[in-house]
Parts: sequence; C-alpha cells; structure tokens
Amino acid sequence: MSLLTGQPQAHHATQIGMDVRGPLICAPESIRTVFIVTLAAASAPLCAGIVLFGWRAAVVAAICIGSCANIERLYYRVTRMPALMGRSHAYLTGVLLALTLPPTAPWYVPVVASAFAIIVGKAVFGGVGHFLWQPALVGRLAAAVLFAGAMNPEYWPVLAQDRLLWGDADKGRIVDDWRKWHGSCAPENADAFVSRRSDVVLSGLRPSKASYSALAYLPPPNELPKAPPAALGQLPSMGEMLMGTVPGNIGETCAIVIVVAGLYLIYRNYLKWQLPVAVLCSAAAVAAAAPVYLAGPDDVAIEVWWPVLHQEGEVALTYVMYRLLSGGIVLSAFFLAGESTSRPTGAGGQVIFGAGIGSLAMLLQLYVNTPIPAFMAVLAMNTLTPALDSLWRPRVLGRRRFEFLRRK
Amino acid sequence: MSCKTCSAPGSGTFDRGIHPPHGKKLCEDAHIEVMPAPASVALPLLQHTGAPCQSSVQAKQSVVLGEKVASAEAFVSAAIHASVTGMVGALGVTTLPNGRHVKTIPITAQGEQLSGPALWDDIYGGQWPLDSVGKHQPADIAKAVREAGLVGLGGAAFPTHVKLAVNPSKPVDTLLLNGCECEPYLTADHRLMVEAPAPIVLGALLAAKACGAKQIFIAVEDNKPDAAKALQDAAKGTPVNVAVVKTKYPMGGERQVVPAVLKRVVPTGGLPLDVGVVVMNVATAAAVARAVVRGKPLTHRVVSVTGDGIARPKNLLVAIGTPYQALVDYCGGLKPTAARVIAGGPMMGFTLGDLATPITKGTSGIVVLTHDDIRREAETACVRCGRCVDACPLRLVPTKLAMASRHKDWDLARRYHIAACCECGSCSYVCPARIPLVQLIRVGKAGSR
Repeated sequence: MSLLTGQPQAHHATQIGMDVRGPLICAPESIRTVFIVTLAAASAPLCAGIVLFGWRAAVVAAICIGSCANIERLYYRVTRMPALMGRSHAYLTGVLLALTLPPTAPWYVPVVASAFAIIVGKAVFGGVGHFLWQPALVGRLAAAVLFAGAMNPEYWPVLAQDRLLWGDADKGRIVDDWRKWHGSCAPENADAFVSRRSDVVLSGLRPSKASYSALAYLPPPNELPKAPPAALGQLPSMGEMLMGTVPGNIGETCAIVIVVAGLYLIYRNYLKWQLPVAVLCSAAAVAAAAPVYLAGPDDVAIEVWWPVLHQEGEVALTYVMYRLLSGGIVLSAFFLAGESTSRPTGAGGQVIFGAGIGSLAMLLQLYVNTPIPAFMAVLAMNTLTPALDSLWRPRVLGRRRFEFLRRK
Repeated sequence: MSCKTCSAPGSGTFDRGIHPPHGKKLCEDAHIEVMPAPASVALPLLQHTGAPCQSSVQAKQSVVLGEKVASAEAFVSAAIHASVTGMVGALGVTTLPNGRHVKTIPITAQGEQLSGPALWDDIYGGQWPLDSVGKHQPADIAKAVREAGLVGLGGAAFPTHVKLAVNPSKPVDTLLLNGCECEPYLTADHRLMVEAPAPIVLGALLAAKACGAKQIFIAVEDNKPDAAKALQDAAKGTPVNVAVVKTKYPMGGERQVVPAVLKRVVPTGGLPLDVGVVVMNVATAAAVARAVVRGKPLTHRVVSVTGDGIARPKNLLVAIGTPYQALVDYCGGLKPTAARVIAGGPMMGFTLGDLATPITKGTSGIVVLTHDDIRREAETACVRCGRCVDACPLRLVPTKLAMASRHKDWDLARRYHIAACCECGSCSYVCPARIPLVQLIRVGKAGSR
C-alpha cells in the first residue's frame, strides 16, 4: 500500500490465487455502504441540532458538507490522486464536523475547519484508511485554535425553555420576540435568558474562573456544604439536558438522539458496545472521584468537595450526570471515537482506548480551561491507537495465557 | 445446544465465525442418485495428503472394480483402486484443482459395470450388523482401512489409517465424527447421514475400537435436523452420541468442532490428537465400515453438484476419477448465468480451470456460481473496521497478517502467528474493502515458513 497515494498495491491476481481459491462469495456490505449508513446515523443528531438551534445550524452544516466535498475534489484534482470510494467519506467528515461546531459560527469557520479536516486530517496521510487522527476533529481543533473568539457555543437553542423572548437583563425589558425566527444567537443588546453552558456553570465551582461568573451563584460561606445543590439550581433541568435544549455545539446537546443513533450503529455492527460503554463509564468514574474546589467570594479556594463522598448519593449522581451530558462526551463516545480508522481494531484495545478518552475528557473538562475537552481527548487517544493495536491483540486460539512469559 | 441432545460437555458453538447464506435449499432434499459408470475414468496418483503412489498396472491390462492399481510404501499415503471395470491406458497427466500436476491412470470402461441400485446396495445399502464390531481386532481394522486406500472424505484427504494408528504417547479417549458440513451449498454429507446412517454408526464404532476411543460423538449442525434424527435412530443402543451444534461457518473445522462439542482447545500448531480426540468425517466413517465389514476399497463417493448455475442440482454417487464434465452433463449442464465451477465449497474450494479434471477422493462437491454470486467491487483501502478480527475463528488479526504478507514482512507475520491460520476464508468473506485477506495470508504462510 503506497502511503502517499493511498492506492492498493497492484498485485497479480494469479500470484495470490484470487478468483482461483475461495472464498468466492463475499458479504454484501462494502465500505461505501458502511460510510453511507454511518452518514445516515450521524444525520440524526445533526437534524436534532437543526431543530433545536434553528436555521443557523443548518447553514453551518451545509457549509461544512459542501466545503468538505469540494475541497476533497479539488485536492484530488490538484494532486492527481485517484479518489477512493467516491466522496461518501467526505460527506461523512462534513457531517461529523458540523456536529462539533457551534451554531453561531460565522461562515468562514466551517470552511477553514473543513479545509483542515480534509487536507491536514486526511489527505496528507494518504486518504481514507490511512489517517491517524479523526479528520473532523482535526478540523474542529484548528477552528478552536484559529477562531477562539468566534467559537462561543454558549447559547440556548431556539426551542429551549424560557427562550420565548430575548431580553436585556439589566433593564428588564424585552428586546425581541423569538417568533421572528432570529435564529440561535441573541441580538446585540440582549443578554437575559442567554445562559451559560452547563459544564461552564459547573466549572465555575473552581477558583480563578471569574470570567465564568459562577461565583455569584454560590451561597455565603456559612452554607457551603449545600454549595453543589445551589450550583445545580443554576443549571437546566435533567430533562432539558437529555432533550438537548441546553447550550452547546450543534450535535452534542441532544443526548437521546445521539444514543439512539449510536445504538443503531451498534446494531449494524459498525460499533462495538464496549467502546461507548468504556468512554461513558470512565468519564462517570472520574467525575465522581475527582475533587472540586469550591470558590468563595474572593475567588479563592475555600473547600474541596468530593462528589463521591457527599452525604446524599443522589446529589453526587445528579452532579455526575450533568458532567456526562454537558460537553461533547456522549457525541464523542458514539460517533467521534467510534470512527473506524482511528480506533483500535479489537474489543480489548477499544476498551482501553475508550477508558482513556472518557477519563481524559473529564479531567480536561474539570481542570483545564478548554472549549472542547472531549474532542481533544479523542484526538489524544487517536495518537495511541497504533500502540494499543500492537500491544493489545487477541490471544490466538489454542495458545495459553501469558505464553510470552513462559520459558520456551 | 449439544448438552440438550447428549452428554457432550461443550457449549455447541465456538467463538466468532460467520454466517454466510448457506444455499443448501437447492439440493438438501435431493436423494442420492447413483450415476451410471462413466465411459472412462482417470485416477490421479496423488489424491491424498502425503507421498504419491506408484502405478502397479501396465497399459492395456484389464482391471475389475476394486482392484488395486497403485500403492506406496510410505506410511502417510493411500492406495488407489480401480473405480470401474475396464482396460488401463497409458499414464496420463492432469492438473488437479489445487494446482498440482499429477500422473493419472486412465481406465476405459469395458464389460458389465455394477450400477444403479446394485451399486448402492454394494456401497451403502444392505445390512450393517452392529454386533460385528466384536469380531475385529484394532490392528485388523487399521490394516483393512489402509488396504482400502481410505482418506478423509471431508476435503483435506488425510490418510485415515494414520489417524487410527495407536500412538502410545498420545492416548485417544474420544472419537468425534464431523457431520457439520459448514460449507455453503454442499449437501453430500447431509444426504448420506439421512440415507445411510447405519454404516456411519458402524464405522464410528469400528474406528473408535481401532484408535482406542472410549466415547463417540457425531457433530451435526442444527440446520440438518433430519440427519440428526436419522443418526439418533440408527445409534440407538450404541455408545454413539449425536451432538447437535449451532450452524456457523467454519464449524466443520477441527479447531472449531472440538471445542464446540468437547470443550477442549486444540493447541496452536497441534492436532486434535494432542487433546485426545480423533476427528473424522461421517462419509469416512461409512467407508471404514465398508472397508472392514465388507472388505471393499474406496472406489466411489457422494458428490453434491449444486449452485445456482447448474440446471438440475443433484447429489450423486460417482466413481472416483470421473471427469467433472460428466457430472455437469449428467446434471443438465451449465446455465448461461454460470460464472465459476468450483471443486469443493465456495468458501474453501478451488475454481476449476478445466472440466476434464477427474473427481478425487477428497472432492465433496461441485458448486457452480453465477455472476451474481461472485460479484465483487474493486479492492479499496483498509479502513481498519475490525470485521476480520471479529470473524476470525482462531482469533488472529487478518488485516495485520495480510499487510505483513503484502510487504513481505515475514517477521511481523510470524509474530502475529500466521502459521495458525486455517485458511477458512471468513476474513475475506466479511471484508467490506474486498481485500483478498486469506489469499494474501496463504502467500504469507508459504513465505514465512
């Protein structure tokens, strides 16, 4: 296989006995089918995002898909490489990229992100089947670095509760009626009803985050043990978290649709159940075990709160659920980490891979000020995929356990 | 599954594997027909695994059905017997489906031939007294089997007397008859189990006595309930158990059927003998009974002629050495849609280059595939979807092995245990990129040896 052209090496059919020795029949599914079905499954969270966030999400998605397809075509024409498997993978990359972008992104963000996804993420490695990092996330990372200011995903979806009117919080007046179909971002002079992402609110529990203004939500120090429930009071309800009527990127908020589409992928055998389960379980475990610093009025840490040690288990559970559902962890677990080329092949390797993604994503979300913790975790673990593949491979039938440790 | 029908300890299935469309509907209900003796046969001198035979007849010599025409001194070899009455011709040469060039003894049929119901009665019909087992000593059984030129009739054609030879360092406690027939389309063993269960049971008892096995199981896939029923009826009152296993490809492989029935794992690089098991095909068992009780050599076998590309699919009892062309013609010829004629099944069989090639002892079927069956897209890059890893019944990593083979990286191939591959083809079947995985692995196995 040539690394640069991505073309299968020409082999002499007679030399390797193709068409002479079996199997002469093959399963009906081809890679094209795999891509198209994955594309259909990934369209479900995209549609949910368009319904929730309004037409701007549709515009972002259309730009993503269109520019991915066109940039791939342009690239292959310029480099004179033959495009493999049509453009189904470019469309898939476009949809996945759209899922990770905020609906308020200006038009040039999806274009540049698509260019990075297709060229840097995929084509320079040799195209489909050869890349190391999930291309859509390469594009998303580039967008996060290049357009940090324009990438603010902290807006409520159109259909969210209390989202009927735009308002000005200071003056207590209504600026605009949502029924004019303004789309998903507020007019210039409005701020009321525009809320923070749930993970940002939760991150406000830790110090030196004055910009996140969550400190105002904390009760006075003498009531501190009740601090987490008080913070929870500032969050959307759990039902809204599941339905997706919370701020976030286009495809990452609607957990129900993501899980249903992911279960379909598992049903079609495109995804092993071990991978999303490993991601979600490890993320939940880290969220439960990792300490949270509660900040006082002067922006200094005054207490360490251990969710798992909290007297009421229900509070800890609610806290962990909010941590899981906010940010892109669910989307990463089912769609981005599950991308076939950049994940380990075996179930064992995928469990380690998934556990790495889940715990890393949660640690980044807790302790590092980054807008895309889950996506960065996926990219980091993608780097380890070749190592996981060679270290963790199935034990050949008939070999004893730990055979390599035994004396020959 | 198996636990419900008998005392076998296994779960009745194995890890991984695939479910190809089995296509057995075409002739699973077709009675075995006795094909009239062909005008001429050509007996290849190498029809088995092991040393080739030397011809012991001269040109223009007359031979009768069952007369020995070739034999070898080597232990791992099997004698060859005339499958028709007639006159021997000058030694010829043919290319077997597996690509080997071998010498053949042509025999032109002359005089009266045994055919029709008389031939059936001679081979599988008539009485098979179960109490005759006591009359035969283990050594005599192995000797009779060797005299009869018996080889495994499942496909690999390993000489049977070698399996039955008692090896003091590796005691055998179980005889496992393999009636799984997991290859798609093929129904020869299925029909034999339905129509002639008595010689199979008797052969099992004799073979178990020869190799010293205490328990006997017959593994039958659960898509052949009529075969399991017939064997159970025939085995009533004997120590033979029928173990019904799940339908899955490649259940018929010995590394799959032994764990499925007996819960014993054959070590990598080892044989079922290493875990005290002898695995034998059901048709071989029937031939053992015939060789020991009736003293008749292996001259005929049941062959399925099937597939969507043949006019009238049939199960035939044919003389070994009959050209494929004669079988195809007897079944009404090829349809216009026919694309490939395969010796064996579509998963592990060989495409025939020449229909004049003779049937050998190991030929279990002829499958004629149509253009629709063999439709393949162009090969594309591997996207590492991992389906081959999930399909490999030996838990190998086919994609890595194929890449190592393509790059001629024999060291990498050895580190991933390329030699353990049984070439069942499950990986190539499932690959959505249409990479010829098992073909590349075969090249790699030869190269890394």
